[in-house]
Amino acid sequence: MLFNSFHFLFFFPISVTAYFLTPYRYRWALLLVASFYFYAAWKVEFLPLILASTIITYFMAIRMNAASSASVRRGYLIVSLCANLGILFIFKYFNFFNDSLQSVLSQVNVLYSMPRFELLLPLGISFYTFSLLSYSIDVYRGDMKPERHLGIFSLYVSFFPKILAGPIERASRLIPQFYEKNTFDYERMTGGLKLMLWGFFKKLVIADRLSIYVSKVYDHPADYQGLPIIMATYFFAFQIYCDFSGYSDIAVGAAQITGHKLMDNFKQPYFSRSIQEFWQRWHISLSTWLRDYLYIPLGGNRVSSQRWYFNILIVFLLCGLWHGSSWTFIVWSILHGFYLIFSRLTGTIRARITALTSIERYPSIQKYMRVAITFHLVAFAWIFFRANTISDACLLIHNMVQIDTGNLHINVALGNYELAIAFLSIGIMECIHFIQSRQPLRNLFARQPEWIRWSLYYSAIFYVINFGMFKNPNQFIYIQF
Amino acid sequence: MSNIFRVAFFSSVLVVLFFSVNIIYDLAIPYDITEKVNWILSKKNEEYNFAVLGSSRAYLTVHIPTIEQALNGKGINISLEGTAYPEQYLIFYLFTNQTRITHLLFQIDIFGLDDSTFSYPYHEYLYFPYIYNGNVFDSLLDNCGYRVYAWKYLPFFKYAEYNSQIGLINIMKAVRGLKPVFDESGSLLIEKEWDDSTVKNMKPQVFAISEKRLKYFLQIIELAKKRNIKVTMFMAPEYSAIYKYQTNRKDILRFYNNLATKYNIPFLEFRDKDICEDKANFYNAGHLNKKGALLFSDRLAKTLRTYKK
Repeated sequence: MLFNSFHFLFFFPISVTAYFLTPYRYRWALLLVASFYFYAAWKVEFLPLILASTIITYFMAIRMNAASSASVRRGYLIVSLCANLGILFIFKYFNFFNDSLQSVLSQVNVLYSMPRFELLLPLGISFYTFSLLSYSIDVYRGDMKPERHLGIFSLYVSFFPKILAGPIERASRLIPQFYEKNTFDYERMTGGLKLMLWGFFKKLVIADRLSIYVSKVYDHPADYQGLPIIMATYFFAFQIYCDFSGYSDIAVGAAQITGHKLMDNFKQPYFSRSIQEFWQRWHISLSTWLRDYLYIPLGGNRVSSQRWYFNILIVFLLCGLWHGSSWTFIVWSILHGFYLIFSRLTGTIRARITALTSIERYPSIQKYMRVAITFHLVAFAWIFFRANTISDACLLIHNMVQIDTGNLHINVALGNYELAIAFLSIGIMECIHFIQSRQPLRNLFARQPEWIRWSLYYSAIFYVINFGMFKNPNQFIYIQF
Repeated sequence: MSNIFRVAFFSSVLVVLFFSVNIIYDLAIPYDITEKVNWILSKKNEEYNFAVLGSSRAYLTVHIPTIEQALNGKGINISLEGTAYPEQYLIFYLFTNQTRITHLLFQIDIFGLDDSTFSYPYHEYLYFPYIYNGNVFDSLLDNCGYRVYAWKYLPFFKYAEYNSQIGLINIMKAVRGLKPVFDESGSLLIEKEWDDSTVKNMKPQVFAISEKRLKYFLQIIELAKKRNIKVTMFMAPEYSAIYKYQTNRKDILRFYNNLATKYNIPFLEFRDKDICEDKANFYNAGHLNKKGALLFSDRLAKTLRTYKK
C-alpha cells in the first residue's frame, strides 16, 4: 500500500480511530495487525519473509544476551547478521554479483554459467534489514537489553509508517514508545496532519510532476542535448528530495498522530555548505547508521589519512550498494566519497584562496557560494543515481554541454502550464525552507490569528488537491530500495 | 469537547468549500470551447442538415463545406479524436438532446468493435460537468465502474482525481476566450507529409468484436432511428499497404455490411485506388492529410448526392 493511494485514505483514519478506541494493553496488537495489513496489501507473499527475519533476530538477540561466553555471544550475532544479510543478498544482490562475475570471467574466456534468480525485490527490505542489524549489534554491544515481547519487537520492525522507506529507526528509541500510554492529543494530531499535508505537497505536487520531465530525458538520453538535460538534472535533484523527504514527512506525521516519534530524516539538505554537512542533513537515519555501525568501528577519522580515505570509500561503497544492485549507485556514492576526500586534501588550499580573496568579509556571499557549489556537486552526482546505466550517464554528461543557442526549447513532456506549477511549487517550498531556517514554522503560525491559520490550511489542502498528480500514482523512489 | 467542535467545524467548512468549487468547475469548464466536447455541447437549439460522427478518421478527414454543397444544407463535424463507439454514443446522445439533425454520417473503423488489442481510452473526465444527466451517469458507470458514484456524490472528488486532464486550466482557457484549433464546422485538416514509421513497425492484427463495443454501436443506430435521423455509415480511406496486416479485414467488413443490411443503412466503403494507394494523400497509414481529405470529401459528397437522388 502506498501513502499516495485511495486505499491509504481509508486505511489510515480507520487504523487511528481503532487505535485510540482500543485499551492500552492491546494497542500494540492493533498496530501490528494494521502494519502487517499495510505491508501485505502490496504483496502478501512477502509477509513470511519479514516475519522470518524478525523471528530469527528476536531469538538470536535473546540467546546472545543470555550467553555468558563472549565467543558464543559473537556466534549468535554472526548468525543473526548472516541470516539477515543473506536474505538481503539473495533478493537484492545475487543477480548483480552473478552478472558482474560472469562479465569479468567472460573477458578472460572462462566459462561460467550460474542461473539467475528471478525474484521480485520485497519492498522496504533494505530498511527493515538495517533496523534488524542495528538492533542485533546494539544488543551485542550491551547498549540495550533484548526485547522479550515478540509482538512489540515485530511491531518495531514492521511499524507501518516506516516499514517501506524508513526512517531506519533505532530499537532503543522506538521500542520504549510502544509501552507508553498515549492518549489522544489534539495538538499532536493537528501537528501530524500538517506534516502529512506538507509531505503530500512535496510528493504529489512537485516530485510526481517533475518525474514526468526527468523520465522523458533520462530514459532517452540520446534524444536530448543541452538545456533539457540540464533542466532534467536540476529537476531530478528536487524530485528525489521531495519524493523521499515527502515520504519521511508523511511517515513522521502519521506516527505522531498515534503518539510515536520517528526521527527526522532530512534537514533542508540543499542548504548545506559542504558535502560533509550534506550527509548530516540527507537521509539522516542511513548516514548515522553507517557512521555508528561501519565508519566508527573502522576507526572513523582517528586514523592515518590513508586509512581514513579507505574508510570513507568503504562506507560510501556500501552506501551505494545499499541503494541498489547497480553500478550507477556505486559510482554515485563513490563520487561522494571522492568529494569528501578531495575536500580534505584541498582544505589548506581553499583556506588560502579564501584569505586571498577576503571573501570572509562577506559571510553571506561566502555562505551562498558554498551552498551553490555544494548543491551543484550533489546535482552532478545525481546524474549517476538516476541514469539507467553508466553509459547513459556518460552520454547525458556529454550531451549536456552541447548547448544549441539557437534552440533553447525546454518543454519536454511538460507543457507551459505544468512547468509553471512546478516552478511555483518549488518556489513555495524553498520560501518555507528559508523561513524555517530562521525560526520554526509552527512558532510563526502560532502567532497568527486563527482565521489566517485556517485560511492557509484550506489553501494548502486545495493546492495539493488541485495540483497533486493523483492519476496513476507514482511509487516512492526509495521504496524500491 | 471544544476540540471536537473545532474539528467538526473545520471539516464542515472544508466540505462546503469543496462543494462550492465543484459547482464553479461544473459551470465554468463547459465554456472552454478549445475542448471539442464543450464546443459541440455549446450548440443549443440549432438545426443541422447533417452531422459527421466518428473518431479521428472523421474529425481529420471530412471537409464539411464540401459535403454541405452536396447535401445542400448546414453540417457539423461532431467527431472526436481518439474515441470509440461508447464515447461517440455519449456525445451523439447529448448533442441530439439539444439540437436537431436530419442525417447522421457515421464513420466506422475496422478496429472499432475491438476493445482489447487496439483500444481507445474512454475520456470520462470530459463529461464530468454533465455527470448529473442520467444517461451520462449510466454510460460512465458502464465504462468506468463504481468510482462514478464517488464522482457524482463526493464534492470535487472527480476533479481532484483528474486534475491533470481537466480543471483549472480549462477555466483559464475559458476566461482567456481561447479559440479551438478546429474550424467553425468542427473539422481539422492536417497539412503533413507521409511518415513511414506507422507502416514500418506494423504487425499483423486480428480484430475482435466485443459485446460492449457492439452494444454502443447499435445504440447509436437505434438512437438515430428513435430521433428520426437518417444514418449513412462510411469508412474513411486507409493507406492500402496496411490491408495485409489486417488479417480479418474482410470478416469485419462483412460484419458491418450485414449490420447495415439489417438496419437498412447505406454503408460506403472507400477503397478508391487513386486515394488509397497514394502516400501523398496520407500523413500516416490510417489518416488522410489535407490533400487526401479534400479529395475524399469530394468523393464522399458525390456519393451522397447520388444516394440523395
